Amino acid sequence: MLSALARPAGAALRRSFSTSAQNNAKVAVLGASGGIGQPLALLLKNSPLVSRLTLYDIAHTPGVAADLSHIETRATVKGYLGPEQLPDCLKGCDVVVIPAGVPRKPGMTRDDLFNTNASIVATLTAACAQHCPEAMICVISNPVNSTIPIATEVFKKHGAYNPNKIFGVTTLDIVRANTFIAELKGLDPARVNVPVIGGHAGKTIIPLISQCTPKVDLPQDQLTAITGRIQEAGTEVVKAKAGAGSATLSMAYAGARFVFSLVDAMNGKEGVVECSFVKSQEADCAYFSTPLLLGKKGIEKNLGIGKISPFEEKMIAEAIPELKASIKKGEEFVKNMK
Amino acid sequence: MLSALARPAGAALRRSFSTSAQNNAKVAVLGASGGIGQPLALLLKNSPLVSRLTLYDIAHTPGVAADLSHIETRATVKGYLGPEQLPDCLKGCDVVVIPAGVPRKPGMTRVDLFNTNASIVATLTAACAQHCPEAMICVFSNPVNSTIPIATEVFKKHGAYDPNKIFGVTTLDIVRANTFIAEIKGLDPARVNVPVIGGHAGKTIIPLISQCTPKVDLPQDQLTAITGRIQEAGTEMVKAKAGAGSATLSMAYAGARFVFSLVDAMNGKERVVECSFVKSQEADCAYFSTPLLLGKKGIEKNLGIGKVSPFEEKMIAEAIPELKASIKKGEEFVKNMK
Repeated sequence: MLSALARPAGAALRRSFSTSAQNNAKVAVLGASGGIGQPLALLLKNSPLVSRLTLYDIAHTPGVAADLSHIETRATVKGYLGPEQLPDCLKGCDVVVIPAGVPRKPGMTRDDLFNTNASIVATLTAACAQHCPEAMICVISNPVNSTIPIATEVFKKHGAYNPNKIFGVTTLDIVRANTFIAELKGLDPARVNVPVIGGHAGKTIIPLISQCTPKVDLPQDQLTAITGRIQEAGTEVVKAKAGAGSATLSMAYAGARFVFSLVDAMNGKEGVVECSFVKSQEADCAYFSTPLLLGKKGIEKNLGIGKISPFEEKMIAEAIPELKASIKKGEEFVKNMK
Repeated sequence: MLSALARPAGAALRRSFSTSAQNNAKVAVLGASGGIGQPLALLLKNSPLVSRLTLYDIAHTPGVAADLSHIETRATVKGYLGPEQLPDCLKGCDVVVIPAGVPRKPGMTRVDLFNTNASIVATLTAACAQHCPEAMICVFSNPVNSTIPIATEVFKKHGAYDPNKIFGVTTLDIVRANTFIAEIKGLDPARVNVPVIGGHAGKTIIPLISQCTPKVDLPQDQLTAITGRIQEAGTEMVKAKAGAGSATLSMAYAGARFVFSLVDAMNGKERVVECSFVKSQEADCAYFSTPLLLGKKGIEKNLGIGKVSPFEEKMIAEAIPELKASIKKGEEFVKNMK
């Protein structure tokens, strides 16, 4: 009887997540039981792009995996609990996403998380360098401006470093920029694209509204205000959550968006562009986020900063010292590691 | 520069959630800060079907709403905190989704939740009957076999009852059936459809594997085993989470699937079919889940039980007494309410 009728509309939910042919991405989420990890894992499990999802954390992963495994999509899901199980979580992975770590509380900067999160990222990326050295590594853990240099130095120590495969996920800044500009201009946010370059903390977040598509014109005072809002949006959510955490659901959305872009590009889709904080020669700084053309081997081509306004030029210049300091802090951390 | 290149693949994430034209559903989530509510709200916010998302709970909703509001999709998001704000959350809603309540701990049945969840559902549905009497009401809160009769009696008390608009969401049973059958038969779960009828607890969950599309043949022992697994899957989850809760992510998926089906049907999409626990004349029982053709006014047509096997016939007969008892318990609860 049912076969005579159209499948439930909701069936589209199961199949419409990708614009390219279904493929076989093996994705690991490290920190899968956390506030970002769980909804991120849900979005990944929902996608026909993913054939295998492995979830790692120091608690709760068997339950999270059991939960997700009931969803009617193709990805197999398995939970791994504790450091002894981490290697098996990683072997054979194409993409590793790392949201692990502690979130900010009101009054904290992302840098305040450094002490805890630096060790976490160092440990997890060491395991990646050993057990899935060819995988794309997508780090969400803050402070990204330091954890990407940490991941890099760790991979170098293991002789597995590939600068085209280590990504600091800054996509939420782009997502926020799109949303805020759309709100201000009465546009559909799904059709707004604002590149955001630089880094992933406060004034190192540099939205290039002059490069927005569609083109938008804003008087300087609005430009300043919205730029400030984009830069402080993370803090805005930490305050709104009043101690209950930082952005989780929107970060899951943004993380999934980045992973799907990467996987599509790895599958051969052309013209896939995302901004990400990576090893770079685009600015006076060893790591810098700019739009990147993604491809089978990760970064296909760095599209660079492009044409910008004097206001944006100034923001870049002012961001460089903070970026250099954060990068150095990350590099020093690994140097001093036993 | 970016405009010369294809938009990020991830942009498809923002636009591909619906098979029908974008429309303007105003959806409320009551219990939005909870384990189901948050990921459910994320999936709803991601959909171009939703124009307004209002989130209610007794804690944390401002933070959850702020988080979701950054996502680059069209739905506005607002958080409402505490009973005084509930009316404003509800006014103008097309669909109200109710995941509010406490989840099971190991060793508990869904009926054990009755005492707490019955009051919650009665209070929330009373507010719906007063402030959005025309809305579709989708109840997740367990035990569904009792909370749907509760919702019904509450709506009757307010003179707002429409049997075509109150739905007990059982979609997770269908989703699990699809997944488990696909697993055992090596099929893509996205292409399997098993109707599940009856109720939403243990042996009242009746999968109609004889009606599965594509047609599957299973020896009786496998049929019995997989039927048992579908019936006990919720309990399997509670055990796997070892005290940390019950199914949340898969429930968010299933709930979103049901809401999208409903909204698509309300928008005029034809032949949208979902199973749901509703007021019914299809069995010897006042409420029963069967496949329903959905439409602009909710239930367009109850498609009934259809042709079932002797094994399934027996399950229906055995489920009726438990269903009747649960229904009666819900009705008595409202009768005894002040």
